[in-house]
Amino acid sequence: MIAQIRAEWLKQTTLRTGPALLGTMLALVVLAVVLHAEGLPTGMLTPAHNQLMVIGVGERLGVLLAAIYGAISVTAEFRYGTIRPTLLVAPRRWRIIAAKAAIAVVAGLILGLAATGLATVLGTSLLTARGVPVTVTDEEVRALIVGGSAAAALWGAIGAGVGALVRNQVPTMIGLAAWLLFIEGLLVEEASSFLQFGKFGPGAAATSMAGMGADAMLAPAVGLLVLVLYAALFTALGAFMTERRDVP
Amino acid sequence: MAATDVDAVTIRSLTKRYGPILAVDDVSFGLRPGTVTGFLGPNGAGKSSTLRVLLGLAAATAGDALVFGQPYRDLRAPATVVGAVLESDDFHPGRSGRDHLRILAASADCGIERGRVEEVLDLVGLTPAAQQRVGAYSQGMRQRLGLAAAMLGSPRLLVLDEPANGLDPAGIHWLRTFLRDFADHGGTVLLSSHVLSEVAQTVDRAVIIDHGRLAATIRLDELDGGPSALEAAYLSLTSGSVL
Repeated sequence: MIAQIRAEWLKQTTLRTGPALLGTMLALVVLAVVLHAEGLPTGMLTPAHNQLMVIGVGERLGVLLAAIYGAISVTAEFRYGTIRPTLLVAPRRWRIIAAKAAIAVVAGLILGLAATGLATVLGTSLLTARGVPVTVTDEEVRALIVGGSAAAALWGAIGAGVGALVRNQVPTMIGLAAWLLFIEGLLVEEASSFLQFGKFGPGAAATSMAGMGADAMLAPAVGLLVLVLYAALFTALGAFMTERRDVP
Repeated sequence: MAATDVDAVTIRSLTKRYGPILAVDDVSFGLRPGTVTGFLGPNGAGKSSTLRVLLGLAAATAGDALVFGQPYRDLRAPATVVGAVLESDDFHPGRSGRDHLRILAASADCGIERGRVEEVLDLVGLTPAAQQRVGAYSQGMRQRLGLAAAMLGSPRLLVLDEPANGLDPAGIHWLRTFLRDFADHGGTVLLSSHVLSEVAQTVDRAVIIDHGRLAATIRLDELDGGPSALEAAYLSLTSGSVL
């Protein structure tokens, strides 16, 4: 298992995919934070809740890019056919998926820290520069960075698991992005009757972990528990199906 | 049991079905260690399906496919037993040839040392290009990199699916010499091809399949007329589907 983790780490560090995803994510964070912090009227930016929404973009982008990272680590093997030599030298397939999920957790943590950290620093600096008092508390910021990064780490494993289930790269990406950016948003809309189970969704759980859930959402600790279960479930399902199915 | 008592490859009543398609139909043959066997048949005859089952990438519908008496997925350190190349382009284009080999060496987890990567690069003549991304490799270089990967664990058996595809005449000559040398040192080779002329001069024996069924097993030293007689036998056995 340690050999597989080492090999997976080498796979990631010998490609530019990781740095490219990190760069893309940071650019998106800058874009989103600048547009909000510079574009919205100062009156709207004063309440702590709204400030948290502006810097909270770090959590959402960290989670999304971590999921994509995890998914690419699996689907790229099928796309380029490297899954064949990989399984020829290491035929215990579940270990490969488990190692990929483990590496995706680490990468997701890095992506989450970078996204939430940058969003916080940039967001508060821009507000201060505009003369808007920073009303968001240190405690909220800490929860956002710690909870958001942990959520991104777990989403890395979910991405790897989904990638192992779907195998085809493009549908995996579209599915993950559609779920995180659109479907979960519909499920947790305020005053929607779907919210009662929508709050247990993996995207909503991540938002709860970052302390950005409204009262109707899960408590951060419950969100963490729910997301750990999702990560374990998708990794296990991905490993199980990889063991069972023929390799193309 | 000593390895010499066991066939390097045992295919026993192997059947592989993909949905309604019967790709391999009750095929049986064995490979003695130290021989070079051509696995011949037209495109779609079931060669690749047989090799995939043998190498543990696909599950048999019925029957057995064993490597030195064991199912592939039960081998403890498969890289030290079998080296295989199934597709000629199973590389990430953004990674260098050397990194591709380093990764497989780490993943194989059987004590392949750093120096072995350089050895196999040298063996296939890729040392000057080792640092380049595979995306910039020619077809022939990719074939060689695949072979280098197969040789990493110093295996006793080489399984190659259409290894001559895309090689120029010099490349085919190089491959022939390489395989002969491997067999002369006691290794066993199973190589598939649908182009008879590529393998006729290399193999000791030919296993011919057609429409998923075993058509014939031919020993070349028992065949009067050598390669040209093999061609005649192949054409008559494979029901003209090569036309």
